[in-house]
Amino acid sequence: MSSLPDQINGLDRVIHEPARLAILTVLSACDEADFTFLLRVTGLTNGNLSTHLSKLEAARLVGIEKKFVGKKPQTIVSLTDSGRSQLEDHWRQLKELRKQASAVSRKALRLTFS
Amino acid sequence: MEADPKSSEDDRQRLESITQSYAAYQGLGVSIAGVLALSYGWIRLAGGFDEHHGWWLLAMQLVLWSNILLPRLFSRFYYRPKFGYVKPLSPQITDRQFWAVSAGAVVFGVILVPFVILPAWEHSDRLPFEPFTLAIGVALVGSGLFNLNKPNYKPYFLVFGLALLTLAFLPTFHIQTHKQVLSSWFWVAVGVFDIVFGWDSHRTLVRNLAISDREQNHV
Repeated sequence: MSSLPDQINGLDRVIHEPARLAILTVLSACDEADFTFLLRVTGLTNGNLSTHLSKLEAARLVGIEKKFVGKKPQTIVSLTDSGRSQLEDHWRQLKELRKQASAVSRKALRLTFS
Repeated sequence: MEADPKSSEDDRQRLESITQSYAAYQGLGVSIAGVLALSYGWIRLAGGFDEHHGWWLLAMQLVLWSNILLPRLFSRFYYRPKFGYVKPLSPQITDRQFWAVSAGAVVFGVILVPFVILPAWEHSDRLPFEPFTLAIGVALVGSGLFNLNKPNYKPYFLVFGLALLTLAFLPTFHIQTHKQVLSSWFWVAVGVFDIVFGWDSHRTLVRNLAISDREQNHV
Protein backbone atom coordinates (compact mmCIF):
# COMPACT_ATOMS: atom_id res chain seq x y z
CA MET A 1 0.00 0.00 0.00
CA SER A 2 1.48 3.40 -0.96
CA SER A 3 2.14 6.10 1.66
CA LEU A 4 -0.18 9.02 2.35
CA PRO A 5 1.97 11.65 0.55
CA ASP A 6 2.29 9.33 -2.45
CA GLN A 7 -1.46 8.90 -2.57
CA ILE A 8 -1.97 12.68 -2.37
CA ASN A 9 0.53 13.20 -5.16
CA GLY A 10 -1.26 10.53 -7.15
CA LEU A 11 -4.54 12.45 -7.26
CA ASP A 12 -5.71 13.44 -10.73
CA ARG A 13 -4.71 17.11 -10.93
CA VAL A 14 -7.10 17.87 -13.76
CA ILE A 15 -9.99 16.99 -11.47
CA HIS A 16 -8.47 18.03 -8.14
CA GLU A 17 -7.87 21.69 -9.06
CA PRO A 18 -10.49 23.53 -6.86
CA ALA A 19 -12.30 25.47 -9.59
CA ARG A 20 -12.52 22.45 -11.88
CA LEU A 21 -13.66 20.26 -8.99
CA ALA A 22 -16.40 22.82 -8.27
CA ILE A 23 -17.51 22.79 -11.92
CA LEU A 24 -17.55 18.99 -12.01
CA THR A 25 -19.47 18.80 -8.72
CA VAL A 26 -22.12 21.17 -10.07
CA LEU A 27 -22.39 19.14 -13.27
CA SER A 28 -22.63 15.89 -11.32
CA ALA A 29 -25.78 17.25 -9.63
CA CYS A 30 -27.59 17.82 -12.93
CA ASP A 31 -28.00 16.41 -16.41
CA GLU A 32 -26.68 19.52 -18.17
CA ALA A 33 -26.24 23.23 -17.45
CA ASP A 34 -25.41 26.32 -19.44
CA PHE A 35 -22.48 28.70 -19.05
CA THR A 36 -24.53 31.32 -17.14
CA PHE A 37 -25.70 28.80 -14.56
CA LEU A 38 -22.14 27.57 -14.00
CA LEU A 39 -20.95 31.17 -13.64
CA ARG A 40 -23.62 31.79 -11.01
CA VAL A 41 -22.96 28.67 -8.96
CA THR A 42 -19.17 28.56 -9.06
CA GLY A 43 -18.58 32.30 -8.77
CA LEU A 44 -15.81 32.12 -11.37
CA THR A 45 -15.20 34.90 -13.86
CA ASN A 46 -16.10 34.44 -17.55
CA GLY A 47 -12.48 33.95 -18.57
CA ASN A 48 -11.66 31.51 -15.77
CA LEU A 49 -14.72 29.40 -16.37
CA SER A 50 -14.05 29.31 -20.09
CA THR A 51 -10.41 28.24 -19.56
CA HIS A 52 -11.31 25.52 -17.06
CA LEU A 53 -14.08 24.19 -19.29
CA SER A 54 -11.63 23.93 -22.18
CA LYS A 55 -9.24 21.91 -20.00
CA LEU A 56 -12.05 19.64 -18.82
CA GLU A 57 -13.22 19.15 -22.39
CA ALA A 58 -9.67 18.34 -23.52
CA ALA A 59 -9.51 15.70 -20.77
CA ARG A 60 -12.88 14.35 -22.05
CA LEU A 61 -14.45 14.87 -18.64
CA VAL A 62 -17.18 17.18 -19.99
CA GLY A 63 -18.96 17.61 -23.28
CA ILE A 64 -19.63 21.11 -24.62
CA GLU A 65 -22.36 21.92 -27.10
CA LYS A 66 -22.69 25.40 -28.58
CA LYS A 67 -26.02 26.39 -30.05
CA PHE A 68 -28.29 29.39 -30.62
CA VAL A 69 -31.53 30.08 -28.76
CA GLY A 70 -33.16 32.66 -31.00
CA LYS A 71 -30.27 34.98 -31.78
CA LYS A 72 -28.41 34.37 -28.56
CA PRO A 73 -25.54 31.89 -28.34
CA GLN A 74 -25.81 29.26 -25.64
CA THR A 75 -23.11 26.95 -24.32
CA ILE A 76 -24.44 23.75 -22.81
CA VAL A 77 -22.07 21.69 -20.67
CA SER A 78 -22.58 18.17 -19.37
CA LEU A 79 -20.46 15.49 -17.69
CA THR A 80 -19.39 12.64 -19.93
CA ASP A 81 -19.93 9.10 -18.66
CA SER A 82 -16.23 8.73 -18.00
CA GLY A 83 -16.18 12.16 -16.32
CA ARG A 84 -18.96 11.08 -13.96
CA SER A 85 -17.20 7.84 -12.99
CA GLN A 86 -13.80 9.58 -12.65
CA LEU A 87 -15.35 12.19 -10.37
CA GLU A 88 -16.95 9.47 -8.22
CA ASP A 89 -13.56 7.73 -7.99
CA HIS A 90 -11.92 11.02 -7.06
CA TRP A 91 -14.33 11.66 -4.19
CA ARG A 92 -13.86 8.06 -3.04
CA GLN A 93 -10.09 8.60 -3.00
CA LEU A 94 -10.46 11.85 -1.05
CA LYS A 95 -12.70 10.19 1.54
CA GLU A 96 -10.16 7.39 1.93
CA LEU A 97 -7.31 9.91 2.29
CA ARG A 98 -9.27 11.84 4.89
CA LYS A 99 -9.82 8.66 6.88
CA GLN A 100 -6.12 7.77 6.72
CA ALA A 101 -5.02 11.32 7.58
CA SER A 102 -7.28 11.30 10.67
CA ALA A 103 -5.78 7.98 11.77
CA VAL A 104 -2.25 9.35 11.31
CA SER A 105 -2.98 12.50 13.31
CA ARG A 106 -4.63 10.47 16.12
CA LYS A 107 -1.53 8.26 16.25
CA ALA A 108 0.73 11.34 16.37
CA LEU A 109 -1.32 12.79 19.22
CA ARG A 110 -1.07 9.54 21.20
CA LEU A 111 2.73 9.53 20.72
CA THR A 112 2.98 13.17 21.83
CA PHE A 113 1.09 12.64 25.11
CA SER A 114 2.40 9.19 25.98
CA MET B 1 -12.07 26.76 -2.12
CA GLU B 2 -11.29 23.52 -0.29
CA ALA B 3 -11.89 19.99 -1.45
CA ASP B 4 -13.48 18.66 1.74
CA PRO B 5 -15.41 15.47 0.87
CA LYS B 6 -18.07 15.99 3.56
CA SER B 7 -18.92 19.60 2.70
CA SER B 8 -18.75 18.74 -0.97
CA GLU B 9 -21.29 15.95 -0.47
CA ASP B 10 -23.56 18.49 1.29
CA ASP B 11 -22.98 20.95 -1.56
CA ARG B 12 -23.82 18.28 -4.10
CA GLN B 13 -27.08 17.45 -2.32
CA ARG B 14 -27.94 21.16 -2.07
CA LEU B 15 -27.22 21.64 -5.77
CA GLU B 16 -29.19 18.55 -6.70
CA SER B 17 -32.16 19.84 -4.74
CA ILE B 18 -31.85 23.27 -6.42
CA THR B 19 -31.58 21.84 -9.94
CA GLN B 20 -34.44 19.42 -9.28
CA SER B 21 -36.79 22.20 -8.24
CA TYR B 22 -35.21 24.92 -10.40
CA ALA B 23 -38.50 25.78 -12.14
CA ALA B 24 -40.42 25.87 -8.85
CA TYR B 25 -37.92 28.29 -7.33
CA GLN B 26 -38.51 30.84 -10.11
CA GLY B 27 -41.14 32.55 -8.05
CA LEU B 28 -41.42 36.16 -9.25
CA GLY B 29 -44.15 35.23 -11.77
CA VAL B 30 -46.15 33.60 -8.97
CA SER B 31 -45.74 36.76 -6.86
CA ILE B 32 -47.07 38.95 -9.69
CA ALA B 33 -49.99 36.54 -10.16
CA GLY B 34 -50.52 36.90 -6.40
CA VAL B 35 -50.67 40.70 -6.75
CA LEU B 36 -53.38 40.25 -9.44
CA ALA B 37 -55.34 37.84 -7.19
CA LEU B 38 -55.03 40.21 -4.24
CA SER B 39 -56.15 43.18 -6.38
CA TYR B 40 -59.09 41.16 -7.68
CA GLY B 41 -60.12 40.28 -4.12
CA TRP B 42 -59.87 43.89 -2.96
CA ILE B 43 -61.81 45.19 -5.96
CA ARG B 44 -64.57 42.66 -5.28
CA LEU B 45 -64.54 43.69 -1.62
CA ALA B 46 -64.91 47.33 -2.64
CA GLY B 47 -67.89 46.43 -4.80
CA GLY B 48 -66.13 46.47 -8.16
CA PHE B 49 -66.60 43.79 -10.86
CA ASP B 50 -70.27 43.58 -10.03
CA GLU B 51 -71.70 40.16 -10.77
CA HIS B 52 -74.48 41.70 -12.87
CA HIS B 53 -72.01 42.99 -15.45
CA GLY B 54 -70.09 39.80 -16.11
CA TRP B 55 -66.65 41.45 -15.90
CA TRP B 56 -65.87 39.52 -12.73
CA LEU B 57 -65.80 36.21 -14.59
CA LEU B 58 -63.34 37.56 -17.17
CA ALA B 59 -61.18 39.08 -14.41
CA MET B 60 -61.22 35.80 -12.48
CA GLN B 61 -60.17 33.89 -15.60
CA LEU B 62 -57.33 36.40 -16.06
CA VAL B 63 -56.17 35.79 -12.47
CA LEU B 64 -56.36 32.00 -12.92
CA TRP B 65 -54.43 32.11 -16.22
CA SER B 66 -51.83 34.46 -14.82
CA ASN B 67 -50.91 31.71 -12.34
CA ILE B 68 -50.01 29.43 -15.25
CA LEU B 69 -48.60 31.87 -17.79
CA LEU B 70 -46.65 34.39 -15.69
CA PRO B 71 -44.23 31.82 -14.19
CA ARG B 72 -43.50 30.56 -17.75
CA LEU B 73 -42.92 34.09 -19.06
CA PHE B 74 -40.68 35.00 -16.13
CA SER B 75 -38.77 31.78 -16.57
CA ARG B 76 -38.06 32.54 -20.22
CA PHE B 77 -37.44 36.27 -20.15
CA TYR B 78 -36.00 36.85 -16.68
CA TYR B 79 -34.62 33.72 -14.99
CA ARG B 80 -33.01 32.07 -18.01
CA PRO B 81 -30.95 35.10 -19.10
CA LYS B 82 -30.05 36.04 -15.51
CA PHE B 83 -29.52 32.70 -13.76
CA GLY B 84 -28.99 30.39 -16.69
CA TYR B 85 -30.42 27.06 -17.68
CA VAL B 86 -30.05 23.72 -15.95
CA LYS B 87 -31.62 20.38 -16.73
CA PRO B 88 -32.14 18.31 -13.56
CA LEU B 89 -31.17 14.65 -13.34
CA SER B 90 -34.82 13.76 -12.86
CA PRO B 91 -37.20 16.66 -13.57
CA GLN B 92 -40.17 17.06 -11.24
CA ILE B 93 -42.51 18.24 -14.01
CA THR B 94 -41.90 17.42 -17.65
CA ASP B 95 -43.08 19.67 -20.49
CA ARG B 96 -45.70 17.08 -21.41
CA GLN B 97 -47.09 17.10 -17.86
CA PHE B 98 -47.13 20.92 -17.89
CA TRP B 99 -49.21 21.06 -21.08
CA ALA B 100 -51.52 18.30 -19.80
CA VAL B 101 -52.16 20.37 -16.65
CA SER B 102 -52.67 23.50 -18.80
CA ALA B 103 -55.18 21.68 -21.01
CA GLY B 104 -56.96 20.55 -17.85
CA ALA B 105 -57.00 24.16 -16.64
CA VAL B 106 -58.61 25.28 -19.93
CA VAL B 107 -61.35 22.68 -19.58
CA PHE B 108 -61.79 23.67 -15.93
CA GLY B 109 -61.77 27.42 -16.56
CA VAL B 110 -63.78 27.64 -19.79
CA ILE B 111 -66.28 24.81 -19.45
CA LEU B 112 -66.52 23.50 -15.91
CA VAL B 113 -66.44 26.81 -13.97
CA PRO B 114 -69.24 28.75 -15.75
CA PHE B 115 -71.47 25.82 -16.70
CA VAL B 116 -71.03 23.25 -13.93
CA ILE B 117 -69.32 24.57 -10.82
CA LEU B 118 -70.88 28.04 -10.59
CA PRO B 119 -74.47 26.73 -10.90
CA ALA B 120 -73.61 24.12 -8.24
CA TRP B 121 -72.28 26.89 -5.96
CA GLU B 122 -75.63 28.59 -6.17
CA HIS B 123 -76.77 25.85 -3.80
CA SER B 124 -73.66 25.79 -1.62
CA ASP B 125 -75.41 28.21 0.78
CA ARG B 126 -77.05 25.16 2.33
CA LEU B 127 -73.67 24.02 3.67
CA PRO B 128 -72.52 25.54 6.99
CA PHE B 129 -69.10 26.36 5.47
CA GLU B 130 -67.67 27.57 2.16
CA PRO B 131 -66.51 24.30 0.52
CA PHE B 132 -63.90 25.58 -1.97
CA THR B 133 -62.08 27.73 0.59
CA LEU B 134 -62.22 24.81 3.02
CA ALA B 135 -60.70 22.43 0.43
CA ILE B 136 -57.76 24.75 -0.35
CA GLY B 137 -57.29 25.44 3.37
CA VAL B 138 -57.18 21.72 4.18
CA ALA B 139 -54.66 21.19 1.32
CA LEU B 140 -52.36 23.93 2.65
CA VAL B 141 -52.62 22.77 6.27
CA GLY B 142 -51.97 19.18 5.13
CA SER B 143 -48.92 20.26 3.15
CA GLY B 144 -47.70 22.35 6.11
CA LEU B 145 -48.07 19.44 8.55
CA PHE B 146 -46.53 16.93 6.13
CA ASN B 147 -43.37 19.02 5.80
CA LEU B 148 -43.20 19.94 9.49
CA ASN B 149 -39.90 18.17 10.25
CA LYS B 150 -38.31 18.61 6.84
CA PRO B 151 -35.36 20.99 6.35
CA ASN B 152 -37.23 23.02 3.72
CA TYR B 153 -40.24 23.52 6.01
CA LYS B 154 -42.25 26.64 5.16
CA PRO B 155 -44.32 27.81 8.14
CA TYR B 156 -46.53 30.06 5.99
CA PHE B 157 -48.25 27.01 4.44
CA LEU B 158 -49.74 26.24 7.84
CA VAL B 159 -50.49 29.92 8.58
CA PHE B 160 -52.33 30.53 5.29
CA GLY B 161 -54.04 27.13 5.51
CA LEU B 162 -55.42 28.02 8.94
CA ALA B 163 -56.42 31.48 7.66
CA LEU B 164 -58.38 29.88 4.81
CA LEU B 165 -60.02 27.40 7.19
CA THR B 166 -61.09 30.34 9.36
CA LEU B 167 -62.49 32.12 6.30
CA ALA B 168 -64.33 28.96 5.24
CA PHE B 169 -66.22 28.91 8.53
CA LEU B 170 -67.20 32.61 8.57
CA PRO B 171 -70.64 31.75 7.05
CA THR B 172 -71.24 29.31 9.94
CA PHE B 173 -71.23 32.24 12.37
CA HIS B 174 -73.06 34.55 9.92
CA ILE B 175 -70.09 36.93 9.79
CA GLN B 176 -69.87 36.72 5.99
CA THR B 177 -71.99 34.97 3.38
CA HIS B 178 -70.64 32.13 1.23
CA LYS B 179 -70.43 34.43 -1.76
CA GLN B 180 -68.62 37.18 0.12
CA VAL B 181 -65.98 34.71 1.28
CA LEU B 182 -65.45 33.07 -2.08
CA SER B 183 -65.58 36.17 -4.26
CA SER B 184 -63.31 38.41 -2.22
CA TRP B 185 -61.60 37.21 0.99
CA PHE B 186 -60.57 33.92 -0.60
CA TRP B 187 -58.71 35.81 -3.37
CA VAL B 188 -57.14 38.18 -0.88
CA ALA B 189 -55.76 35.24 1.13
CA VAL B 190 -54.61 33.31 -1.96
CA GLY B 191 -53.06 36.48 -3.39
CA VAL B 192 -51.04 37.16 -0.25
CA PHE B 193 -50.02 33.48 -0.10
CA ASP B 194 -48.83 33.61 -3.75
CA ILE B 195 -46.84 36.78 -3.07
CA VAL B 196 -45.14 35.26 -0.01
CA PHE B 197 -44.56 31.86 -1.64
CA GLY B 198 -43.22 33.37 -4.88
CA TRP B 199 -40.92 35.78 -3.10
CA ASP B 200 -39.62 33.11 -0.73
CA SER B 201 -38.90 30.75 -3.65
CA HIS B 202 -37.13 33.53 -5.54
CA ARG B 203 -35.06 34.41 -2.47
CA THR B 204 -34.04 30.76 -2.05
CA LEU B 205 -32.90 30.60 -5.66
CA VAL B 206 -30.97 33.86 -5.45
CA ARG B 207 -29.35 32.84 -2.16
CA ASN B 208 -28.15 29.57 -3.65
CA LEU B 209 -27.09 30.78 -7.05
CA ALA B 210 -25.92 34.35 -6.64
CA ILE B 211 -22.49 33.36 -5.35
CA SER B 212 -20.91 35.43 -8.08
CA ASP B 213 -22.47 38.58 -6.61
CA ARG B 214 -20.84 37.91 -3.23
CA GLU B 215 -17.42 36.66 -4.22
CA GLN B 216 -15.60 36.12 -7.44
CA ASN B 217 -13.13 33.26 -7.40
CA HIS B 218 -10.13 34.24 -9.45
CA VAL B 219 -8.47 30.87 -9.79
